Amino acid sequence: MIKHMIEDNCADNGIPLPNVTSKILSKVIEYCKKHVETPKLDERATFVDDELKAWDADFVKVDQATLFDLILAANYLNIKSLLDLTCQTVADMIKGKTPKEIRKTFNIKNDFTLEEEDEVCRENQWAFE
Amino acid sequence: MSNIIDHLLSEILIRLPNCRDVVQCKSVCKRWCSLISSPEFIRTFIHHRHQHRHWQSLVSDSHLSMLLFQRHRFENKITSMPNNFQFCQVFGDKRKNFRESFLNFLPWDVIIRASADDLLLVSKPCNFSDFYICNPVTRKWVALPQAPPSITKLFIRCGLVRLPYNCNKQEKCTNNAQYRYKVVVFGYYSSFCAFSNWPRATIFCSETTQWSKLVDFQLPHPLKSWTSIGVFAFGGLIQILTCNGILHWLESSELFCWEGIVAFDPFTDVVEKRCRFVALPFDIDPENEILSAFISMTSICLGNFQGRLRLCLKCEVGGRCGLKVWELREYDQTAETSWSLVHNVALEIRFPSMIFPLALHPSISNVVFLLCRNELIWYNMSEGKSEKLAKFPFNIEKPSARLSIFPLMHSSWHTPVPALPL
Repeated sequence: MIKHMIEDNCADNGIPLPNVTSKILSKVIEYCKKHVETPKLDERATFVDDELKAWDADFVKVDQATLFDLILAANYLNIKSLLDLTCQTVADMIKGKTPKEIRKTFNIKNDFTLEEEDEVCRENQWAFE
Repeated sequence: MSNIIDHLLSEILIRLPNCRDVVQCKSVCKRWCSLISSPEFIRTFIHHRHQHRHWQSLVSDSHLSMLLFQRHRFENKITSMPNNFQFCQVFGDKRKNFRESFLNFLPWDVIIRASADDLLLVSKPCNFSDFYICNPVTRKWVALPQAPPSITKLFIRCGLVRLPYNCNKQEKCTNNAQYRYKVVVFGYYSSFCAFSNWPRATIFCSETTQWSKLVDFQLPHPLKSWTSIGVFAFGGLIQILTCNGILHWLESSELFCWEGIVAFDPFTDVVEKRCRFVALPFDIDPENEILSAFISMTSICLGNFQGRLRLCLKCEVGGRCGLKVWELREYDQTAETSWSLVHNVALEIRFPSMIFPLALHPSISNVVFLLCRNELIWYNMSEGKSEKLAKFPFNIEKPSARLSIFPLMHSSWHTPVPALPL
Protein backbone atom coordinates (compact mmCIF):
# COMPACT_ATOMS: atom_id res chain seq x y z
CA MET A 1 0.00 0.00 0.00
CA ILE A 2 2.83 2.33 0.82
CA LYS A 3 4.48 1.23 -2.37
CA HIS A 4 1.46 2.48 -4.28
CA MET A 5 1.55 5.81 -2.53
CA ILE A 6 5.19 6.23 -3.42
CA GLU A 7 4.56 5.27 -7.02
CA ASP A 8 1.72 7.71 -7.27
CA ASN A 9 3.94 10.50 -6.09
CA CYS A 10 1.94 11.21 -2.98
CA ALA A 11 4.87 10.65 -0.73
CA ASP A 12 6.81 13.84 -1.18
CA ASN A 13 5.98 15.24 2.20
CA GLY A 14 5.95 12.02 4.15
CA ILE A 15 3.31 9.27 4.02
CA PRO A 16 0.27 9.76 6.23
CA LEU A 17 -0.93 6.66 8.04
CA PRO A 18 -3.99 7.80 9.91
CA ASN A 19 -5.00 4.34 11.01
CA VAL A 20 -1.76 3.32 12.59
CA THR A 21 -0.32 4.76 15.79
CA SER A 22 3.40 5.24 16.09
CA LYS A 23 3.62 2.55 18.75
CA ILE A 24 2.07 -0.06 16.47
CA LEU A 25 4.00 1.16 13.47
CA SER A 26 7.28 0.66 15.29
CA LYS A 27 6.28 -2.94 16.08
CA VAL A 28 5.38 -3.49 12.45
CA ILE A 29 8.68 -2.10 11.32
CA GLU A 30 10.46 -4.33 13.81
CA TYR A 31 8.65 -7.34 12.30
CA CYS A 32 9.39 -6.37 8.73
CA LYS A 33 13.05 -5.71 9.42
CA LYS A 34 13.48 -9.11 11.04
CA HIS A 35 11.77 -10.87 8.19
CA VAL A 36 13.66 -9.03 5.50
CA GLU A 37 16.99 -9.79 7.14
CA THR A 38 16.28 -13.51 7.33
CA PRO A 39 16.99 -15.09 3.93
CA LYS A 40 13.70 -16.12 2.50
CA LEU A 41 13.11 -19.57 1.12
CA ASP A 42 10.55 -20.59 -1.42
CA GLU A 43 7.16 -19.41 -0.24
CA ARG A 44 5.61 -22.81 -0.28
CA ALA A 45 8.48 -24.65 1.34
CA THR A 46 7.49 -26.42 4.50
CA PHE A 47 10.80 -25.76 6.13
CA VAL A 48 10.60 -22.76 8.41
CA ASP A 49 13.54 -21.40 10.25
CA ASP A 50 13.11 -22.48 13.87
CA GLU A 51 14.80 -19.40 15.17
CA LEU A 52 12.48 -17.17 13.22
CA LYS A 53 9.50 -19.11 14.47
CA ALA A 54 10.63 -18.60 18.04
CA TRP A 55 11.12 -14.91 17.40
CA ASP A 56 7.62 -14.69 15.93
CA ALA A 57 6.18 -16.45 18.97
CA ASP A 58 7.82 -13.90 21.22
CA PHE A 59 6.74 -11.04 19.02
CA VAL A 60 3.06 -11.79 19.56
CA LYS A 61 3.34 -12.00 23.32
CA VAL A 62 1.59 -8.70 23.76
CA ASP A 63 -1.64 -7.57 25.37
CA GLN A 64 -4.88 -8.18 23.53
CA ALA A 65 -5.39 -4.58 22.47
CA THR A 66 -1.97 -4.44 20.86
CA LEU A 67 -2.56 -7.76 19.16
CA PHE A 68 -5.76 -6.54 17.57
CA ASP A 69 -4.14 -3.28 16.60
CA LEU A 70 -1.43 -5.31 14.88
CA ILE A 71 -4.10 -7.23 12.98
CA LEU A 72 -5.69 -4.01 11.83
CA ALA A 73 -2.34 -2.56 10.86
CA ALA A 74 -1.25 -5.68 8.99
CA ASN A 75 -4.53 -5.61 7.10
CA TYR A 76 -4.30 -1.91 6.30
CA LEU A 77 -0.68 -2.13 5.21
CA ASN A 78 -1.32 -5.40 3.39
CA ILE A 79 1.44 -7.40 5.06
CA LYS A 80 0.24 -10.94 4.53
CA SER A 81 2.69 -12.83 6.73
CA LEU A 82 2.06 -10.57 9.71
CA LEU A 83 -1.70 -10.90 9.22
CA ASP A 84 -1.26 -14.67 9.09
CA LEU A 85 0.79 -14.71 12.28
CA THR A 86 -1.48 -12.44 14.28
CA CYS A 87 -4.73 -14.06 13.16
CA GLN A 88 -3.34 -17.49 13.90
CA THR A 89 -2.38 -16.27 17.37
CA VAL A 90 -5.93 -15.18 18.10
CA ALA A 91 -7.30 -18.44 16.62
CA ASP A 92 -5.03 -20.34 19.00
CA MET A 93 -6.47 -18.31 21.86
CA ILE A 94 -10.00 -19.27 20.82
CA LYS A 95 -9.29 -22.95 20.28
CA GLY A 96 -10.27 -25.23 23.12
CA LYS A 97 -12.40 -22.68 24.91
CA THR A 98 -16.10 -22.97 25.51
CA PRO A 99 -18.26 -20.14 24.13
CA LYS A 100 -18.57 -18.77 27.65
CA GLU A 101 -14.81 -18.66 28.06
CA ILE A 102 -14.40 -17.06 24.66
CA ARG A 103 -16.80 -14.30 25.65
CA LYS A 104 -14.89 -13.72 28.85
CA THR A 105 -11.46 -13.64 27.18
CA PHE A 106 -12.49 -11.17 24.51
CA ASN A 107 -15.06 -9.26 26.45
CA ILE A 108 -17.90 -10.08 24.07
CA LYS A 109 -21.46 -9.47 25.13
CA ASN A 110 -23.84 -12.40 24.94
CA ASP A 111 -26.73 -10.95 23.01
CA PHE A 112 -28.75 -14.16 22.71
CA THR A 113 -31.98 -14.52 24.61
CA LEU A 114 -32.26 -17.72 26.60
CA GLU A 115 -34.46 -19.36 23.96
CA GLU A 116 -32.17 -18.32 21.13
CA GLU A 117 -29.14 -19.60 22.96
CA ASP A 118 -30.87 -22.92 23.61
CA GLU A 119 -31.79 -23.25 19.97
CA VAL A 120 -28.29 -22.55 18.73
CA CYS A 121 -26.89 -25.03 21.23
CA ARG A 122 -29.33 -27.71 20.22
CA GLU A 123 -28.72 -27.27 16.52
CA ASN A 124 -24.99 -27.47 16.93
CA GLN A 125 -24.88 -30.07 19.67
CA TRP A 126 -22.98 -32.42 17.37
CA ALA A 127 -19.99 -30.09 17.24
CA PHE A 128 -19.54 -30.35 20.98
CA GLU A 129 -19.37 -34.11 21.05
CA MET B 1 -12.41 -7.54 19.53
CA SER B 2 -15.49 -5.49 18.86
CA ASN B 3 -13.85 -3.09 16.47
CA ILE B 4 -12.66 -5.87 14.23
CA ILE B 5 -14.46 -5.96 10.92
CA ASP B 6 -16.14 -9.12 9.68
CA HIS B 7 -13.47 -9.80 7.11
CA LEU B 8 -10.79 -9.94 9.79
CA LEU B 9 -12.94 -12.00 12.14
CA SER B 10 -13.23 -14.44 9.22
CA GLU B 11 -9.46 -14.47 8.86
CA ILE B 12 -9.19 -15.47 12.50
CA LEU B 13 -11.91 -18.12 12.52
CA ILE B 14 -10.75 -19.90 9.38
CA ARG B 15 -7.51 -20.64 11.18
CA LEU B 16 -9.16 -22.82 13.78
CA PRO B 17 -8.08 -26.45 13.38
CA ASN B 18 -11.36 -27.95 12.22
CA CYS B 19 -14.95 -27.15 11.40
CA ARG B 20 -16.25 -28.42 14.74
CA ASP B 21 -14.30 -25.74 16.59
CA VAL B 22 -15.75 -23.13 14.28
CA VAL B 23 -19.32 -24.35 14.66
CA GLN B 24 -18.93 -24.26 18.44
CA CYS B 25 -18.19 -20.55 18.09
CA LYS B 26 -21.68 -19.96 16.77
CA SER B 27 -22.84 -19.90 20.37
CA VAL B 28 -20.67 -16.93 21.32
CA CYS B 29 -22.87 -14.14 20.05
CA LYS B 30 -25.29 -13.28 17.26
CA ARG B 31 -22.68 -11.64 15.10
CA TRP B 32 -20.40 -14.67 15.20
CA CYS B 33 -23.37 -16.96 14.59
CA SER B 34 -24.52 -15.20 11.45
CA LEU B 35 -20.98 -14.80 10.14
CA ILE B 36 -20.19 -18.49 10.54
CA SER B 37 -23.48 -19.51 8.93
CA SER B 38 -22.93 -17.40 5.85
CA PRO B 39 -22.10 -19.24 2.60
CA GLU B 40 -19.30 -16.76 1.98
CA PHE B 41 -17.54 -17.64 5.20
CA ILE B 42 -17.88 -21.38 4.56
CA ARG B 43 -16.47 -20.99 1.09
CA THR B 44 -13.51 -19.05 2.48
CA PHE B 45 -12.94 -21.71 5.15
CA ILE B 46 -12.92 -24.55 2.63
CA HIS B 47 -10.76 -22.61 0.24
CA HIS B 48 -8.20 -21.82 2.95
CA ARG B 49 -7.91 -25.56 3.58
CA HIS B 50 -7.29 -26.27 -0.05
CA GLN B 51 -4.62 -23.60 -0.23
CA HIS B 52 -2.53 -24.81 2.60
CA ARG B 53 -0.90 -28.20 2.27
CA HIS B 54 -0.45 -28.78 5.93
CA TRP B 55 -4.17 -28.58 6.47
CA GLN B 56 -4.64 -31.31 3.87
CA SER B 57 -2.90 -33.78 6.08
CA LEU B 58 -5.55 -33.14 8.70
CA VAL B 59 -8.26 -34.03 6.24
CA SER B 60 -6.87 -37.46 5.63
CA ASP B 61 -6.45 -37.94 9.34
CA SER B 62 -7.92 -41.27 10.30
CA HIS B 63 -10.35 -39.95 12.87
CA LEU B 64 -12.21 -38.18 10.16
CA SER B 65 -13.49 -41.32 8.50
CA MET B 66 -15.70 -44.10 9.63
CA LEU B 67 -17.19 -47.33 8.40
CA LEU B 68 -20.75 -48.30 9.05
CA PHE B 69 -21.62 -51.96 9.14
CA GLN B 70 -25.20 -52.87 8.63
CA ARG B 71 -26.63 -56.26 9.08
CA HIS B 72 -29.12 -57.25 6.50
CA ARG B 73 -32.13 -59.42 6.41
CA PHE B 74 -33.86 -60.12 3.21
CA GLU B 75 -36.64 -57.60 2.82
CA ASN B 76 -39.89 -59.13 1.97
CA LYS B 77 -43.14 -57.30 1.86
CA ILE B 78 -45.01 -60.28 3.15
CA THR B 79 -42.95 -60.90 6.21
CA SER B 80 -41.52 -57.54 6.99
CA MET B 81 -39.18 -57.32 9.93
CA PRO B 82 -38.72 -53.65 10.64
CA ASN B 83 -36.60 -53.86 13.75
CA ASN B 84 -33.93 -56.21 12.65
CA PHE B 85 -31.63 -53.78 11.00
CA GLN B 86 -28.79 -53.04 13.27
CA PHE B 87 -25.89 -50.74 12.79
CA CYS B 88 -22.51 -50.60 14.19
CA GLN B 89 -19.99 -48.00 13.56
CA VAL B 90 -16.26 -48.16 13.73
CA PHE B 91 -14.10 -45.10 13.78
CA GLY B 92 -11.03 -45.11 11.62
CA ASP B 93 -8.68 -44.69 14.53
CA LYS B 94 -9.64 -48.03 16.08
CA ARG B 95 -12.12 -46.58 18.48
CA LYS B 96 -15.03 -48.90 18.29
CA ASN B 97 -18.49 -47.84 18.99
CA PHE B 98 -21.51 -49.99 18.50
CA ARG B 99 -24.47 -47.73 18.52
CA GLU B 100 -27.85 -48.79 17.48
CA SER B 101 -29.13 -45.31 17.99
CA PHE B 102 -26.84 -43.84 15.38
CA LEU B 103 -29.64 -42.77 13.09
CA ASN B 104 -32.29 -42.09 15.70
CA PHE B 105 -32.49 -38.44 14.77
CA LEU B 106 -34.68 -39.64 11.91
CA PRO B 107 -38.31 -40.11 12.84
CA TRP B 108 -38.45 -43.76 11.70
CA ASP B 109 -36.38 -46.91 11.58
CA VAL B 110 -34.42 -46.84 8.37
CA ILE B 111 -32.03 -48.94 6.34
CA ILE B 112 -28.88 -47.41 4.95
CA ARG B 113 -28.89 -47.82 1.18
CA ALA B 114 -25.77 -46.00 0.04
CA SER B 115 -23.10 -43.58 1.13
CA ALA B 116 -21.05 -40.88 -0.58
CA ASP B 117 -18.47 -38.68 1.18
CA ASP B 118 -20.17 -37.91 4.49
CA LEU B 119 -23.76 -38.36 3.33
CA LEU B 120 -26.06 -41.34 3.63
CA LEU B 121 -28.99 -42.41 1.54
CA VAL B 122 -31.59 -44.17 3.64
CA SER B 123 -35.08 -45.49 3.25
CA LYS B 124 -37.63 -47.23 5.32
CA PRO B 125 -37.49 -51.04 5.41
CA CYS B 126 -39.47 -52.82 2.68
CA ASN B 127 -40.13 -49.46 1.13
CA PHE B 128 -38.60 -48.84 -2.26
CA SER B 129 -39.92 -45.38 -2.96
CA ASP B 130 -39.37 -43.14 0.05
CA PHE B 131 -35.77 -42.05 0.27
CA TYR B 132 -33.95 -39.59 2.50
CA ILE B 133 -30.51 -38.03 2.39
CA CYS B 134 -28.88 -37.32 5.71
CA ASN B 135 -25.63 -36.27 7.28
CA PRO B 136 -25.36 -38.49 10.36
CA VAL B 137 -22.87 -36.21 12.09
CA THR B 138 -24.83 -32.98 11.92
CA ARG B 139 -28.11 -34.93 12.12
CA LYS B 140 -29.74 -33.02 9.30
CA TRP B 141 -31.84 -34.71 6.65
CA VAL B 142 -34.09 -34.09 3.65
CA ALA B 143 -36.77 -36.20 2.06
CA LEU B 144 -36.67 -36.92 -1.63
CA PRO B 145 -39.88 -36.95 -3.63
CA GLN B 146 -41.36 -40.38 -4.11
CA ALA B 147 -39.58 -42.69 -6.51
CA PRO B 148 -41.59 -44.57 -9.15
CA PRO B 149 -43.36 -47.15 -6.98
CA SER B 150 -43.41 -49.89 -9.57
CA ILE B 151 -39.66 -50.30 -9.58
CA THR B 152 -39.74 -53.76 -8.08
CA LYS B 153 -41.30 -55.98 -5.49
CA LEU B 154 -38.13 -57.92 -4.90
CA PHE B 155 -35.03 -56.01 -3.97
CA ILE B 156 -33.15 -52.88 -4.87
CA ARG B 157 -29.60 -51.65 -4.96
CA CYS B 158 -28.82 -47.99 -4.64
CA GLY B 159 -26.04 -45.59 -5.33
CA LEU B 160 -25.49 -41.98 -4.30
CA VAL B 161 -23.21 -39.59 -6.11
CA ARG B 162 -22.43 -36.08 -4.97
CA LEU B 163 -20.64 -33.48 -7.07
CA PRO B 164 -19.51 -30.28 -5.41
CA TYR B 165 -19.73 -27.07 -7.35
CA ASN B 166 -16.62 -25.15 -8.17
CA CYS B 167 -15.27 -22.71 -5.66
CA ASN B 168 -15.67 -19.21 -6.99
CA LYS B 169 -12.20 -18.20 -5.88
CA GLN B 170 -10.06 -20.43 -7.97
CA GLU B 171 -10.31 -22.87 -10.83
CA LYS B 172 -10.14 -26.57 -9.97
CA CYS B 173 -10.96 -25.84 -6.37
CA THR B 174 -14.29 -27.21 -5.21
CA ASN B 175 -16.65 -26.13 -2.50
CA ASN B 176 -18.33 -29.12 -0.94
CA ALA B 177 -20.98 -27.07 0.84
CA GLN B 178 -22.66 -26.29 -2.44
CA TYR B 179 -23.27 -29.40 -4.46
CA ARG B 180 -25.62 -31.36 -6.60
CA TYR B 181 -26.30 -35.04 -6.32
CA LYS B 182 -27.92 -37.98 -8.02
CA VAL B 183 -29.50 -41.06 -6.57
CA VAL B 184 -29.58 -44.20 -8.69
CA VAL B 185 -31.93 -47.03 -7.79
CA PHE B 186 -31.75 -50.39 -9.51
CA GLY B 187 -34.75 -52.62 -9.17
CA TYR B 188 -34.35 -56.33 -9.63
CA TYR B 189 -37.73 -57.60 -10.48
CA SER B 190 -37.39 -61.26 -11.07
CA SER B 191 -35.26 -63.95 -9.63
CA PHE B 192 -34.70 -67.13 -11.53
CA CYS B 193 -35.62 -65.60 -14.83
CA ALA B 194 -34.03 -66.18 -18.20
CA PHE B 195 -30.73 -64.60 -19.16
CA SER B 196 -32.14 -61.60 -20.90
CA ASN B 197 -33.16 -59.49 -17.99
CA TRP B 198 -31.62 -56.23 -17.08
CA PRO B 199 -32.41 -54.48 -13.87
CA ARG B 200 -34.62 -51.45 -14.16
CA ALA B 201 -33.18 -48.16 -13.07
CA THR B 202 -34.39 -44.74 -12.15
CA ILE B 203 -32.25 -41.74 -11.34
CA PHE B 204 -33.08 -38.78 -9.14
CA CYS B 205 -31.36 -35.53 -9.96
CA SER B 206 -31.16 -32.83 -7.30
CA GLU B 207 -31.10 -30.08 -9.89
CA THR B 208 -34.40 -31.03 -11.45
CA THR B 209 -35.76 -32.59 -8.20
CA GLN B 210 -37.27 -35.34 -10.30
CA TRP B 211 -36.90 -39.04 -10.80
CA SER B 212 -36.29 -40.24 -14.32
CA LYS B 213 -38.53 -42.74 -16.07
CA LEU B 214 -37.88 -46.38 -15.28
CA VAL B 215 -35.59 -47.84 -17.91
CA ASP B 216 -33.86 -51.12 -18.47
CA PHE B 217 -30.27 -50.70 -17.38
CA GLN B 218 -28.01 -52.43 -19.84
CA LEU B 219 -24.79 -53.62 -18.36
CA PRO B 220 -21.71 -52.90 -20.43
CA HIS B 221 -20.11 -55.50 -22.65
CA PRO B 222 -18.98 -58.25 -21.98
CA LEU B 223 -21.58 -58.69 -19.28
CA LYS B 224 -24.59 -60.43 -20.70
CA SER B 225 -27.16 -59.93 -18.02
CA TRP B 226 -27.41 -59.45 -14.32
CA THR B 227 -28.94 -62.78 -13.58
CA SER B 228 -26.51 -64.89 -11.73
CA ILE B 229 -27.81 -67.40 -9.29
CA GLY B 230 -24.79 -66.62 -7.21
CA VAL B 231 -25.75 -62.97 -6.91
CA PHE B 232 -29.27 -63.86 -6.01
CA ALA B 233 -28.09 -66.32 -3.42
CA PHE B 234 -26.31 -63.45 -1.77
CA GLY B 235 -29.52 -61.55 -1.67
CA GLY B 236 -28.17 -59.11 -4.21
CA LEU B 237 -26.46 -57.29 -1.43
CA ILE B 238 -23.25 -56.57 -3.14
CA GLN B 239 -22.23 -53.03 -2.34
CA ILE B 240 -22.31 -50.19 -4.72
CA LEU B 241 -19.30 -48.07 -3.88
CA THR B 242 -19.07 -44.39 -4.71
CA CYS B 243 -15.60 -43.31 -5.65
CA ASN B 244 -14.73 -40.04 -7.33
CA GLY B 245 -18.26 -39.38 -8.44
CA ILE B 246 -18.59 -42.79 -10.08
CA LEU B 247 -20.56 -45.79 -8.88
CA HIS B 248 -18.72 -49.10 -8.84
CA TRP B 249 -19.92 -52.59 -8.17
CA LEU B 250 -18.90 -56.14 -8.84
CA GLU B 251 -21.00 -57.86 -11.43
CA SER B 252 -21.30 -61.29 -12.88
CA SER B 253 -23.24 -62.97 -15.58
CA GLU B 254 -21.98 -66.44 -14.88
CA LEU B 255 -22.84 -68.59 -11.97
CA PHE B 256 -20.98 -67.93 -8.74
CA CYS B 257 -18.22 -66.01 -10.34
CA TRP B 258 -17.36 -62.34 -10.52
CA GLU B 259 -16.66 -61.19 -14.00
CA GLY B 260 -15.69 -57.62 -13.46
CA ILE B 261 -16.61 -54.21 -12.18
CA VAL B 262 -19.18 -51.86 -13.61
CA ALA B 263 -18.28 -48.19 -13.39
CA PHE B 264 -21.31 -45.96 -13.86
CA ASP B 265 -21.01 -42.19 -14.01
CA PRO B 266 -24.45 -40.62 -13.81
CA PHE B 267 -23.16 -37.10 -14.27
CA THR B 268 -21.16 -37.39 -17.42
CA ASP B 269 -22.45 -36.35 -20.80
CA VAL B 270 -19.88 -38.39 -22.66
CA VAL B 271 -21.63 -41.57 -23.76
CA GLU B 272 -18.51 -43.73 -23.71
CA LYS B 273 -17.74 -42.80 -20.14
CA ARG B 274 -21.19 -43.31 -18.78
CA CYS B 275 -21.17 -47.04 -18.15
CA ARG B 276 -17.90 -48.88 -18.42
CA PHE B 277 -16.63 -52.32 -17.68
CA VAL B 278 -13.44 -52.75 -15.68
CA ALA B 279 -11.83 -56.16 -15.86
CA LEU B 280 -10.54 -57.68 -12.67
CA PRO B 281 -6.80 -57.52 -12.11
CA PHE B 282 -6.50 -61.28 -11.84
CA ASP B 283 -7.81 -64.34 -13.63
CA ILE B 284 -10.38 -66.59 -12.13
CA ASP B 285 -8.41 -69.70 -12.80
CA PRO B 286 -8.99 -72.73 -10.67
CA GLU B 287 -5.44 -73.93 -11.31
CA ASN B 288 -4.00 -70.69 -10.16
CA GLU B 289 -4.33 -68.85 -6.91
CA ILE B 290 -8.08 -68.87 -6.66
CA LEU B 291 -9.23 -72.28 -5.63
CA SER B 292 -12.75 -71.90 -6.75
CA ALA B 293 -14.82 -69.14 -8.20
CA PHE B 294 -17.32 -69.47 -5.42
CA ILE B 295 -14.73 -68.57 -2.88
CA SER B 296 -13.80 -65.54 -4.89
CA MET B 297 -17.24 -64.08 -4.43
CA THR B 298 -16.61 -63.60 -0.76
CA SER B 299 -12.91 -63.00 -1.03
CA ILE B 300 -13.05 -59.67 -2.76
CA CYS B 301 -13.93 -56.28 -1.48
CA LEU B 302 -13.83 -52.88 -3.12
CA GLY B 303 -12.71 -49.74 -1.38
CA ASN B 304 -12.33 -46.02 -1.89
CA PHE B 305 -8.87 -44.87 -0.88
CA GLN B 306 -8.61 -41.09 -1.07
CA GLY B 307 -10.67 -40.91 -4.23
CA ARG B 308 -9.15 -43.93 -5.96
CA LEU B 309 -10.73 -47.31 -6.41
CA ARG B 310 -9.02 -50.21 -4.74
CA LEU B 311 -9.72 -53.91 -4.79
CA CYS B 312 -8.65 -56.36 -2.13
CA LEU B 313 -8.42 -60.08 -2.77
CA LYS B 314 -7.82 -62.85 -0.33
CA CYS B 315 -6.14 -65.64 -2.18
CA GLU B 316 -5.21 -69.11 -1.09
CA VAL B 317 -2.42 -71.26 -2.44
CA GLY B 318 -2.03 -74.60 -0.74
CA GLY B 319 -2.77 -73.87 2.86
CA ARG B 320 -1.25 -70.42 2.73
CA CYS B 321 -3.30 -67.34 2.60
CA GLY B 322 -2.43 -63.96 1.21
CA LEU B 323 -3.89 -60.53 0.65
CA LYS B 324 -3.45 -58.50 -2.47
CA VAL B 325 -4.57 -54.96 -3.00
CA TRP B 326 -4.70 -53.27 -6.37
CA GLU B 327 -5.41 -49.67 -7.22
CA LEU B 328 -7.16 -48.59 -10.39
CA ARG B 329 -5.18 -46.02 -12.36
CA GLU B 330 -7.08 -45.84 -15.63
CA TYR B 331 -10.53 -46.87 -16.67
CA ASP B 332 -10.16 -47.50 -20.32
CA GLN B 333 -7.18 -49.79 -20.50
CA THR B 334 -6.75 -53.51 -20.41
CA ALA B 335 -6.60 -55.28 -17.10
CA GLU B 336 -2.82 -55.43 -17.15
CA THR B 337 -2.31 -51.72 -17.51
CA SER B 338 -5.20 -50.23 -15.62
CA TRP B 339 -4.49 -51.75 -12.21
CA SER B 340 -1.34 -51.53 -10.18
CA LEU B 341 -0.57 -53.81 -7.29
CA VAL B 342 -0.03 -51.80 -4.13
CA HIS B 343 0.07 -54.50 -1.47
CA ASN B 344 0.91 -58.17 -1.61
CA VAL B 345 1.32 -59.83 1.75
CA ALA B 346 1.01 -63.24 3.26
CA LEU B 347 -1.61 -63.61 5.92
CA GLU B 348 -0.16 -65.41 8.85
CA ILE B 349 -3.42 -66.71 10.19
CA ARG B 350 -4.34 -70.19 11.23
CA PHE B 351 -7.67 -70.72 9.57
CA PRO B 352 -7.58 -68.89 6.26
CA SER B 353 -10.98 -70.12 5.19
CA MET B 354 -12.48 -68.26 8.12
CA ILE B 355 -11.08 -64.91 7.04
CA PHE B 356 -12.90 -62.56 4.72
CA PRO B 357 -11.81 -59.09 3.67
CA LEU B 358 -14.60 -56.70 4.54
CA ALA B 359 -13.37 -53.26 3.71
CA LEU B 360 -10.33 -51.15 3.04
CA HIS B 361 -9.49 -48.25 5.29
CA PRO B 362 -10.41 -45.05 3.45
CA SER B 363 -7.37 -43.09 4.55
CA ILE B 364 -4.67 -45.43 5.82
CA SER B 365 -3.17 -47.27 2.90
CA ASN B 366 -2.01 -50.47 4.49
CA VAL B 367 -4.99 -51.23 6.71
CA VAL B 368 -7.74 -53.64 5.81
CA PHE B 369 -10.71 -54.73 7.91
CA LEU B 370 -11.14 -58.49 8.09
CA LEU B 371 -13.90 -60.66 9.34
CA CYS B 372 -12.86 -63.70 11.32
CA ARG B 373 -15.83 -65.68 12.52
CA ASN B 374 -17.77 -62.97 14.30
CA GLU B 375 -14.96 -60.63 14.96
CA LEU B 376 -13.90 -57.49 13.20
CA ILE B 377 -10.17 -57.29 12.83
CA TRP B 378 -7.99 -54.34 12.01
CA TYR B 379 -5.10 -55.69 9.98
CA ASN B 380 -1.99 -53.73 9.16
CA MET B 381 -0.58 -55.30 6.02
CA SER B 382 2.88 -53.79 6.13
CA GLU B 383 3.57 -54.83 9.70
CA GLY B 384 1.55 -58.02 9.66
CA LYS B 385 -0.12 -56.95 12.87
CA SER B 386 -3.73 -57.64 13.59
CA GLU B 387 -5.93 -56.28 16.28
CA LYS B 388 -9.37 -57.45 17.29
CA LEU B 389 -11.58 -54.42 17.22
CA ALA B 390 -14.94 -55.78 18.15
CA LYS B 391 -17.28 -58.67 18.05
CA PHE B 392 -20.38 -58.27 15.98
CA PRO B 393 -23.47 -58.64 18.10
CA PHE B 394 -25.06 -60.92 15.54
CA ASN B 395 -24.12 -64.04 13.69
CA ILE B 396 -22.47 -63.71 10.32
CA GLU B 397 -22.18 -66.71 8.09
CA LYS B 398 -21.30 -65.26 4.74
CA PRO B 399 -20.11 -61.69 5.02
CA SER B 400 -21.25 -60.36 1.72
CA ALA B 401 -24.69 -61.77 2.26
CA ARG B 402 -25.12 -60.47 5.73
CA LEU B 403 -23.19 -57.29 6.00
CA SER B 404 -23.34 -54.09 4.06
CA ILE B 405 -20.51 -51.69 4.56
CA PHE B 406 -20.72 -47.94 4.10
CA PRO B 407 -17.66 -45.74 4.32
CA LEU B 408 -18.06 -42.15 5.42
CA MET B 409 -15.35 -39.65 4.63
CA HIS B 410 -15.44 -36.27 6.23
CA SER B 411 -13.82 -33.34 4.53
CA SER B 412 -12.87 -29.90 5.74
CA TRP B 413 -16.43 -28.70 6.24
CA HIS B 414 -19.32 -30.99 7.18
CA THR B 415 -21.62 -31.31 4.19
CA PRO B 416 -24.78 -29.33 4.83
CA VAL B 417 -28.09 -31.03 4.15
CA PRO B 418 -29.73 -29.56 2.20
CA ALA B 419 -26.93 -27.98 0.21
CA LEU B 420 -26.25 -24.29 0.67
CA PRO B 421 -27.96 -22.16 -1.93
CA LEU B 422 -25.79 -21.00 -4.79
